[in-house]
This record gives sequence, structure tokens and C-alpha cells, in this order.
Amino acid sequence: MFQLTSSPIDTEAVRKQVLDPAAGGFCSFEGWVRNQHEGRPVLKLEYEAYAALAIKEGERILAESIQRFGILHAACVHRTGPLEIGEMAVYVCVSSAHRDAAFDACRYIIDEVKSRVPVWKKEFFADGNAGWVRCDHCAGHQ
Amino acid sequence: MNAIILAGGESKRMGRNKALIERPDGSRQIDYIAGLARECCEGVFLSLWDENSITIELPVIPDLHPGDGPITALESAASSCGGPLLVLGCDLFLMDRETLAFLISHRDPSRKAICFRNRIDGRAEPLCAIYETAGLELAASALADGNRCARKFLESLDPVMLDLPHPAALDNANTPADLSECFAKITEGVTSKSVRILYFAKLREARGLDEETIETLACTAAGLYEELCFRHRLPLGTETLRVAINGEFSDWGARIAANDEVVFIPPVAGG
Repeated sequence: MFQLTSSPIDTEAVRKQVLDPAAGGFCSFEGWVRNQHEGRPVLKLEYEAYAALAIKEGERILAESIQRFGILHAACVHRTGPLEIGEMAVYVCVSSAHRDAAFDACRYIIDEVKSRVPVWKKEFFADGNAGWVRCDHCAGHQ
Repeated sequence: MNAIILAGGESKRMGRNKALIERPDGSRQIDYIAGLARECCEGVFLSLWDENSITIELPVIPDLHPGDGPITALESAASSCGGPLLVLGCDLFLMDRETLAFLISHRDPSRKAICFRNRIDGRAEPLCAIYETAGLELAASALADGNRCARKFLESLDPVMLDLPHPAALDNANTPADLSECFAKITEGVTSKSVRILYFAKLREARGLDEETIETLACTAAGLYEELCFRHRLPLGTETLRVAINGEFSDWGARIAANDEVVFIPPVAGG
């Protein structure tokens, strides 16, 4: 299940979505707010989403990961709104019979989410400037 | 009255000579415009900087200063055929005889020029206008003053300004996407429709709004974005955007229907 939330991510609740007696492996990824961007000190971030399409595209990515890697379950939650340094911006987790597929699927999901889901990130820098981060690897934006 | 068709542009963004583009009915654009001009003018001339670029049975008025834009074509015409002169851009894919008849019927020889207001920003449209001799004669001094903008030159003539009887008649095409939009208007007709636009991230800040409902004549998503860009000078071009219609990714040639919800998606950056 792909979700957007404006509250801190409850990783335990998301992890429960992928529990399965047939699973022998679990893999997760947490994306955190970093205090700098290419050496420039960052004070905070703000995420904005086109929710209707973000959820649809996120669900498509999760379905693709199951199909492609033969994993059992996949889930992802992305934050919206203002985030402080160190907060979790995105959480991905998958369960699978074997570990290789779990690692690969987890990696696939975070890469695709970053480049395809209509979520935007604004960085507020210590020098007072702010700007929208441009993802240079976006699908369809090359 | 004489007419001059301006076909000297480089058509860089189109990637091919606009005058030679084939219209939906198979005719060449230059022949279409020349046909309209012949119906209402005695002499029809062609302004070109490369005489070999187009094959058509029309007398050519070579540019005195090739590559300097439309005003130099007016300057060249002033010394060869004089006014009154109907000036037509060769890329007016939606031009029609009623629009030209309307322009000609409102002509006032005591003024320096007559033209239409742009349907969106209301400013003078220089490439479908009649320039009287007194107006044409000022082209040389405008060029000498360094003016290369045909619109500013026309505005300096204090022209008679008309509202377009057919609002989309002056829609032109500078890119393949513009051309698809023009062809959609030709084949599917021009109707005003109300659409809801949602803005996000950089576009939301540039527009200063989360959403708005607007009236548009656009048929395609690209045509709609072009209208919005023209109105609001939005900072991103279609090459960096994606488009979604009614909550689903779509393509730039997709048709817009009344009450659609359209989102232009800036480069995303989640995670």
C-alpha cells in the first residue's frame, strides 16, 4: 500500500502490512532529511504532493515491484508538509521468500518513487534562500 | 491594396520551413495564405531572405537587411510597392477570409495602420495588419533606431485596434506542439471550454494560486499550457513538464474537454 501522510511515519504499522508466514526476508529503506545539499547547509524541507495521482503512481510502482521481483508484499509511505533535519521523509518495506529479491525490490521502489511520483521537495537553506529540488533523473523529464 | 506574405523567418523551433507545411487538407500553408490574400488584394508579394527556399508563383520582395525580422520586410515593401499594404505572417494556420474582410472593411486611410488585438493580452498584432504608406515610411527610421520588435513598431503607429471576429484566427505555430494545436482547431473547430487547473511547487508559486478555473480555446494539453504561459509568463516549458488530465498522466497532444482537471507537473523530487 502506498500512502501520503503529514504526520511522522509509524514504521511499525507499515511493517505489519508486509508480514507473511511465507516470507523469509524483510528489507526496508528510510529516507531522512539531511542537513546539507551539495555542501550547502539546509535548515528544513517542505514536501508537496499531487495526492490523487501520487497515490495511483505509488500503487503502480508497488505492483510492479511484486510482479518484477516475485516478492510477497511491498509498502511505502511518503511525508508531506514541513520536515525538520533528521526526520523520516519516506519509508519503504518489502517481504519476500528470499533476501535477494527483497533487496532488489526495495531499491527499485525507492528509485521509482523518487523519479515518478508527483511529490516535490523545497529546500530552505541556512543562507536564507529556498528552492525546489530538481530531480534530473525523472521519467519523462529528461 | 497590395499584400505581402512574410515567409523569411527561420522556423528554428519548428525545425522546418513553416510556409511549406502541409495543412490537414493536403494544401501547402503558403498556398493557403496566398489564396486568401489574392481574394482581397490586387498584388500579392512574398517577403523572403532566401529566394530559393520556396517555390510559388508570387513576385518576391527581397529583404534589404536579411535576418532583421518583420520590420525590414516592411521597409523593403515601402520602397517597392508602397501602401496600403496588408501584411500577413505565413504561419497563420487559422486565418480565414471573414477575418481579412473584417480588417479591410474597417480600414481608415487617415490612420497609419489597422490591426487586431491579441485575444489574450489585448496588444496589437503586427503580422495580420494593414499598414498605410505613412506607416510603412516609418519602418526605416524605426530600424535605424534599433527597433527590431514588430509589435512595438506597430504600437508606435497608434493603429486602429479591432477585436477579432473569430478569436483564434491569429493563433500561430512556432513549435510542432503549436502546430498540432492549430490543426486540432482546424479539424475539430474552435470552442470555448471551462477547465480547472491545479498548480504545484514552482508553478504554484509562479502563478500565486493553488488552482483556478479558466476559459480556454485550446484543444490539446500543449495548447492549454501555451495559453497559460502567455497569460502568466510561467517559468517552465513543456520540455521540462509532464501533464495529467483528470488525475492520470497524459500526453501533450491529448484533447482537453470541458470541465477537465488539468495539472502541469514540474520535475518531481520525492524521497
